[in-house]
Amino acid sequence: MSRAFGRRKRWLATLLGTPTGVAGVVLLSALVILAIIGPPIWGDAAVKSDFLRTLRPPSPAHPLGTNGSGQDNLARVLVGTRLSLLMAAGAVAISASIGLLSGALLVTVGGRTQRIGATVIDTWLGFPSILLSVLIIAVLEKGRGAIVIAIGLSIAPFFARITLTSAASVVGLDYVAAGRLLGLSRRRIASRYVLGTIVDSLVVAVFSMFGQSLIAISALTYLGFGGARSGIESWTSIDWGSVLNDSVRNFRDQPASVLGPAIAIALAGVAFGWFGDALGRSLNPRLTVRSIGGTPRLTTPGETA
Amino acid sequence: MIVCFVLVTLVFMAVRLVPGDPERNAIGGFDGTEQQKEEALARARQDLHLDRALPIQYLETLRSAVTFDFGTSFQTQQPVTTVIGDRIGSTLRLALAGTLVIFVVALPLGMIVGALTNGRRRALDVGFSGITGFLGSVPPYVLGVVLVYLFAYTFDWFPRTPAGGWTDEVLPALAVGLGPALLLARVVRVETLGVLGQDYMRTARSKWLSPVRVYLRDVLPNVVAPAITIGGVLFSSLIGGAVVVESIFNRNGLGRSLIEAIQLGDYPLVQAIALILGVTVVVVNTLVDIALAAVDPRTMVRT
Amino acid sequence: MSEPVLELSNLSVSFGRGDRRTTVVNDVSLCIEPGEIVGIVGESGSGKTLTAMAAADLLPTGAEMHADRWMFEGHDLSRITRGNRGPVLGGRLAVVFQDPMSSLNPARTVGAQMSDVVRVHHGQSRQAARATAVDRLREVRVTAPERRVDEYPHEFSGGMRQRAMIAMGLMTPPALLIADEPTTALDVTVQADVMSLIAELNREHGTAVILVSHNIALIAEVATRVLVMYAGRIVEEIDAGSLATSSRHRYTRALIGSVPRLDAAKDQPLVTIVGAPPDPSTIIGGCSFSPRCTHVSEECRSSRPALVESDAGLVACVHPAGDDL
Repeated sequence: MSRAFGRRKRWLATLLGTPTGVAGVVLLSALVILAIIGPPIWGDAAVKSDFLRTLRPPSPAHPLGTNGSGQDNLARVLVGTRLSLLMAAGAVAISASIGLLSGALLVTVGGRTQRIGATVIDTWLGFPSILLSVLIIAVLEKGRGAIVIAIGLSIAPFFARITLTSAASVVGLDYVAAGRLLGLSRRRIASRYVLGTIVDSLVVAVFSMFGQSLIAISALTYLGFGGARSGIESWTSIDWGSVLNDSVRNFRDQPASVLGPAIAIALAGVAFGWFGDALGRSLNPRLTVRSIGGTPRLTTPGETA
Repeated sequence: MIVCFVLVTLVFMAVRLVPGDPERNAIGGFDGTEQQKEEALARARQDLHLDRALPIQYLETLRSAVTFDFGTSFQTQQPVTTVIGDRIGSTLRLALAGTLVIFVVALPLGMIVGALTNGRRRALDVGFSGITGFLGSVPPYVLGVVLVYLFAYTFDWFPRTPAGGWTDEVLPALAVGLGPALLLARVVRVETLGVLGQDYMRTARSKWLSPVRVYLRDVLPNVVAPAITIGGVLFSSLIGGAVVVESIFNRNGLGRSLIEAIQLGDYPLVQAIALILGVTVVVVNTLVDIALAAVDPRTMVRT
Repeated sequence: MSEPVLELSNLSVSFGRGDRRTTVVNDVSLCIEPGEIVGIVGESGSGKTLTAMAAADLLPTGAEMHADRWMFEGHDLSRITRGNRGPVLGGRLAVVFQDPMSSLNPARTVGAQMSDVVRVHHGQSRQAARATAVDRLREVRVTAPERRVDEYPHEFSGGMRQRAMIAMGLMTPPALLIADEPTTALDVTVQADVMSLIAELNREHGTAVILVSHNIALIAEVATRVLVMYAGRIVEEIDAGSLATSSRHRYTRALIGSVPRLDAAKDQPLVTIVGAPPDPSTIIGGCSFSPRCTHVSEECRSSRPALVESDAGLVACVHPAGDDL
């Protein structure tokens, strides 16, 4: 008991051991809380139009001013947290499952298929993923679902790459060789040894990809791929990208309103990255997922490798 | 090569998978007399090879991709090549200026901070990685919006809408280039520290040359090769960033045309632009390999 | 005699600060006359390399030196700030390092690296510097120097690179060459070649040489004077000619005895020195060689012997050897 507790304490200490780790944990907790309590509190304010007070500059009543329909910009940013996080979560879930499965499949099959698969994955990774995601959206019908699927698909090779890399690092090890000598099939080896060892890198990757999907998804909703706004708006269709789109269109009249969504997107993206790094350090001190130049990193429309 | 093939295939599928009649979708936004509409429809059918059997359609699509004959834009009823010719200059300027920002910022910044933090100045070290880590992960479109807010609206240093001239290029180039530049500066700093610890730097010290000469002649050549490698990776994200940033700055470039073409279902244009951007990334990656061979004497011998 | 090329007195080199300060070189005094070859010999960790690097002002970051006197060709280096030593040392003091593989910049041609000194300190043009470099490469017997001068270090073999390093030191030519284990990283066949080059450089250009090595036999061959270092101090200074016959310190004797000789009687065992050199952070009272010395006495452990005159030089030993060995 006490030993397990001690290990947990040390784990926490490493997680919070760096300034970025602390900032990541704090920001992330704030985002999650905001996503939960935001819509009930500010939901009405976010959609309540007031056509007598459109495009107002910042004031005590509306700290970030109002948009073209007289809605409160700050409230819209706060409420948008939930949808932005949910969409990012959806994209990460899709990409992690597809990436993991295809990676595991390649490892199980092995041989030339694995090499060809790895080449395809690397080519995919080296390609600006916004191009891929907008093309995927062109195939699908416009809308939030399409965006989530498109980003999910364009991030998937990142997870496949992690699976392949971890598998490659494990396969050479003695205990896998021993397993093979014992007559375990490739499939058994893949599931028993490889999956077990990639959990650490996977958890870290999920968090840093979460931030990147959020940035990419916001880029696409900003570009107007989220679908047209219907007459009666509900807060469930507000996300940071669409708020940014709104603000940029009114740049001339009310420039300050762009700061809300811009800062929200940037902070969230950075926070997930910091948290992922800190988590990586505490799970495995030798693991550096964000190393540049080592493993190829995904490039999303917003993010840079 | 593979990338181009995949792109063409993807666009081909896109056109056929979209619900409804593709060519009717396609000219939906086109105004004109009934006869003009019929003509446009026929042309669209021909451009998309819809009048043939499906496998032939695919082969025809591949052929037109190779010969760079993409037919007519549904929306403007101009040849796609004309539309692209009008728009490519803006994107090219943005990409070049962005690349310039990456290297002009990253190399000196990384080398100077590397030289200053060589086993000393812990505070500068921490501050540098904090700031570059933060700004390096801010996406280009967010950076673009903030730059416009600060320098076009608050300080009024740059035009708010394209005014013609070099001032149009500064903010967009910073928006797409600054993030990659700061990430690259981190790499350059680490590489510089690595070089400074090498024995040959002691040899350089033993010659009693000026520090500037040592950094330019002895350090820079050893830092350039890794910088180009990473710079090539960053270029791909720069193109991705350009696609989004163009619409923030109201630039009539390929990226913005691509977004509009997708939203309007203008498939010939989508196909052409996606292919051009894809080919650009591939070509730049090849150029990076060539540049690396030219810079690094060791790879030169191998080839 | 004319004024010495290099004079260092009571040199000490230390790392770290406060409680964690470790002094690795103690009370070392050096005086190099023009045209002489002085060997510094000792095991690894004896401080011989740091002494040489301190003399060349090339100590690694973190190392601190102090000397009562530090003169180079009549210039008081201790009064000149680091940034202003270039005009005094540049081109006049050259260094050849231990590992020729890593001591040349892989991204620049050999010729460009050789040219630096004359271009900066003698204002030579690029072409003139290249011509000088070709001459020097020829002098160190690099074949086809006109072609070689434009090649990169990785195209040179190890021995070639060390010759290029020496040629680089020869560019001006300098008043003093400091060679730190110049042959340790090389094949035995190339070693003799490089040593004869250094000797030649000394003969033809009158360049004084400080030759640092762990190999006492090698030093005995070319040096005029030998300094033996142990645990950061000079324990014996002796003319190279009398090394074999008149060395007095027990450590020097052991070093000489540990060299295998073809003419030795087959039944005569090689001398081995028991134990390892002391860690610089442990402070040994008295003679620092006492824990490993075969002739140790109580007196050795209680007080450190000073460097005093012996018949062939200076020695710091309580019980100097006679001619009994």
